[in-house]
Amino acid sequence: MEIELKPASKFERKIFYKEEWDVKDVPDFITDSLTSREFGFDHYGQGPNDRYKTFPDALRLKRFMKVKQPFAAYCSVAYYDKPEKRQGWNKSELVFDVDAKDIPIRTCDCDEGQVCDKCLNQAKEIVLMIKDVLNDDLGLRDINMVYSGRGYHVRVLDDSVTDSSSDMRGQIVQYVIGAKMPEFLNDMGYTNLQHFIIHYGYPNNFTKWSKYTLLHLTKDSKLDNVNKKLLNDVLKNRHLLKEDQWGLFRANIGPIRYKKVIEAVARVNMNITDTKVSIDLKRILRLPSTLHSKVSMKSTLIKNIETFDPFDDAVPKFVYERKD
Amino acid sequence: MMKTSFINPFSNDAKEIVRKLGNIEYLDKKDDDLVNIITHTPSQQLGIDAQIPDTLLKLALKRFEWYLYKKLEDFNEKKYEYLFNPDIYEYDVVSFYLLCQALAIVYGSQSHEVKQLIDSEKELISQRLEKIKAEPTDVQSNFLRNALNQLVDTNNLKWTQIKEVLELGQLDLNNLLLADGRVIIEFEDFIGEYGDLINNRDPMAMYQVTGGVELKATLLISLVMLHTKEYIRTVEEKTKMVEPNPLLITLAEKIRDVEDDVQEKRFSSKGSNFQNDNQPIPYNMEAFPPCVRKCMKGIKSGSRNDAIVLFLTPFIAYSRLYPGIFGLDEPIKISQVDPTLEITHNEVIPLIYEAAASCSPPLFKDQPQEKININSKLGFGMHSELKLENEGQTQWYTPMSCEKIKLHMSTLCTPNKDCKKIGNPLTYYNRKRRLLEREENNNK
Repeated sequence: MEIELKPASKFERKIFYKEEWDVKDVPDFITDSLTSREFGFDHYGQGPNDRYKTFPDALRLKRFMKVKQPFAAYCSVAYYDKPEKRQGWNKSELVFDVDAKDIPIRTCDCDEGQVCDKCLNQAKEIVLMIKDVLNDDLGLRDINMVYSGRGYHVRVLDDSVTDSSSDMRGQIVQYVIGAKMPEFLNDMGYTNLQHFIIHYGYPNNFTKWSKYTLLHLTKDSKLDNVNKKLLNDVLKNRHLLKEDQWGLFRANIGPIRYKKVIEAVARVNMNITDTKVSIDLKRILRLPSTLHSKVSMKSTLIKNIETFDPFDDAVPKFVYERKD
Repeated sequence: MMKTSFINPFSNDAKEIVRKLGNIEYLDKKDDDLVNIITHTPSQQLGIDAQIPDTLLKLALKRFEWYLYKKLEDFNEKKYEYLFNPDIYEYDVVSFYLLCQALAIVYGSQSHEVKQLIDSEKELISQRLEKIKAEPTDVQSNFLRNALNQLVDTNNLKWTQIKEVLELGQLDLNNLLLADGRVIIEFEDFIGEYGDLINNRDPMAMYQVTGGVELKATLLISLVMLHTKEYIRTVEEKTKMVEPNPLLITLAEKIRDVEDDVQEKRFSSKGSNFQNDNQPIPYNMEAFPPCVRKCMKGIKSGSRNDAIVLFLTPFIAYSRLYPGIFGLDEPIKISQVDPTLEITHNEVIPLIYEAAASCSPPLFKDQPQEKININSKLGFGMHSELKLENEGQTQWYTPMSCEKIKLHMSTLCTPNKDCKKIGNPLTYYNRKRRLLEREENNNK
C-alpha cells in the first residue's frame, strides 16, 4: 500500500492519541529526565505557542496528551532546574536535525516543502554518515536516532558534550558535516596541498562529505559562484570520484575552477543539517512517539537505523484505515 | 635552551620560582641581577629613554606596557628586548603572577584589563616561541612536549577535555587530529593511528603539515591563556575577604595610567581611520557586503526573523552611527553618538523596516512583535517605541561575525572576492568604503 503523506484530521488525531499512542513509547532518555525538561505544544497547527509546560511524572504527561490530543508535541533538549521558567540551565543534548525537505542536494522530484521515499532515504544516508563521524572521530557514545516525521534527529546524550556552549556546538557541527574548507596548520612550504591527499582527520571527513555532495548534484543544482558550464563539467567528470580519483577530477576541471567548486561544496555541506537547531541550547524538538500531523507520521525512536523504514515503522494505524 | 617556565608560567618549576622569589618584601626592592640580565640582553636599548625596570614590580608594569604600546605606530621593540631574553625567566614568572593578582584584586576577573593581560600573555608566548623555531624540529617538538605535559597528557588527551581551550578561538576543532575522541598530538601516536593511511609520502612531513609542532605550540598558548583566566578567577574569589596589598593596588593604578596614555596617543593620532569611524558617517550602500545586500532585498520565511533582527539591525545601526566599533574596547550606547536619536529614527530604523517589508511574508505582517526585538537589539529594552528613557535596558548588539552568520543563516553568505580574510560584514564595509573613497579621490 502506498502511503500518502497528507495532514491528519482532527478526528484522526483523536483516534491516534486515544487508541494508539502510549506513554511507554516515549524514550527512556526523556522519561528519565522528565522533570528537568520543558514541554511545548502546538494545539492548532500554528506553531508551538503553548510552552513552559512541565510534568512531574509520566502519568501526568499521559493524561495531558490523551485529553488535549495536540497537533504537535515538543520537548526541550535542555535540562533545567526550573523548566517551567526555562531557568537554571544544566545541559543540553547535542542535536543534528536532518529534514528531508531541506536537503540541499535532493535528487528526487519532490515539490518544495514535500518529502518522498527517495529524499527520506537520502536523509537516512546522511544521519548514518553523521553517526559515523560522531563515533569514530569524536568518540561520542549514547547517540539516539529519531525519525521526526519528515526527516531524522540525531540526539547525543554523551555527558562529555552536553555541557558544551553554543559556540562549541558550532565547531562540532562544522566538523561533523564537513562544512569548512580544511586549513593546514603548517603548509611546510607546500603550495598545493589538497584535502584529498590526506586520508585521516578532518581533511578526510571533508573529502567524504564533498564526495557525497558532488555525487548528488543534479543539472539543476545551484552552487554559489559555479556557472552552468562548470557545473556540467563537474557532472561529466564526477564518475572519477567513485574511484576516489580526486587528482584526475581536479586536473580535468582545472585547479582554479576546482577551488571554486570545492568552496561552494563546503557551503552546501553546511546546509545538510539545520545548524540553527544544533547551536540552540534551549531548542524544543518533536517528542518521539507523537504524531507529526502535517504528514500523518509518527515520530519514532529508531532501534536499528540500518533496517528502519519510515513507511513500515512510523505509520499510524489510522492511515491504513483511510477510505480515500 | 629556554626553560619551560619562560613559556609556561604554570609549570612546576615556575611554581618553585614563585615560592623562591615571590616574597612580597622584595617586590619593590632594586635587584641588580635583574638589571644585569636586562643590560646584557642583545639588541636591548639602554639609557634613560629605555626606562629599564630595576624591580619586580616595575618589570610587571613593563610586561603589560609592552603589549599596549606595541599597538602604537611609533612603538620601539628595542626598548623591550629583555622580555624575550630567556635568562630573565625567573623574574618574568614572578612579574606574571604579580600582574594576575593586581588585576584580579583591583579590577576583577571580568575586567577589560584582565582580558588585555590574557591577550598579552598570548602575544608574549607566541613571540618567545618564534625564537625556538631556529632549532631542529625534534628539539622544538620535545621542548613543547615537556611544556605541554605540565598541563595535559599529550599521549592521552580527549578533545572533550579541552572544550574551553577550543572556545578561546586560537584552535578550531577541525585543526585537531581526532581518533575515537583522542587528540593525536605526538608523532608516535600519529604513526600508530594513521601510519597505514600514508602511502608514498614522508610520514613526518604529513605529521607536521596536519599537526606537529604548530599544533603543539598553539595548544600550549591556548592552555596558558585558559589557566591564566582560571588563576585570576581563583585569586578574585580568594581575596574577596582579605585586605589587598598596597603594592598590588599601586601596580594596578599604574596600569590604568599606561592604558590612559595609550588611549590618548591612539585617539590623538591625526588622520587615523579609527578616529573618523568613531562618529556617525553617511551610508555608502555601494560598500555594503553581499550578505547585507541580499538581506535588504528580503528574506523568505525560515531565517527571516533572525536575518532582520539579529543580523541586519546591528549592521545597519553601527555602519551609520559608529563603524569603528571594533576598535573600541567597551560597549557604547546609541545616544553617545546620536544624542537626539534623529539619525536613528530617520535613517537607521526606516532602512531596517524597509528590509523587513521586503521579506516574504513581510516580517511585521505576521510578527509585529519583532519591532520590539529590533528596539531591544539597539539597546532600548523590550518596548514597542524607541525612547531615550529606555536606553541601556538592553545592550546595543554588535554585528554578527561571518562565522556566526554561516551557522545561523547560511543562505545569506554568498561571498565575493572582497570577502577574503574578512571576519565581519562591518569590517568588509569599512574596508570597501575606504577603497571606494580612495578610488574616487584618485579619479578627481
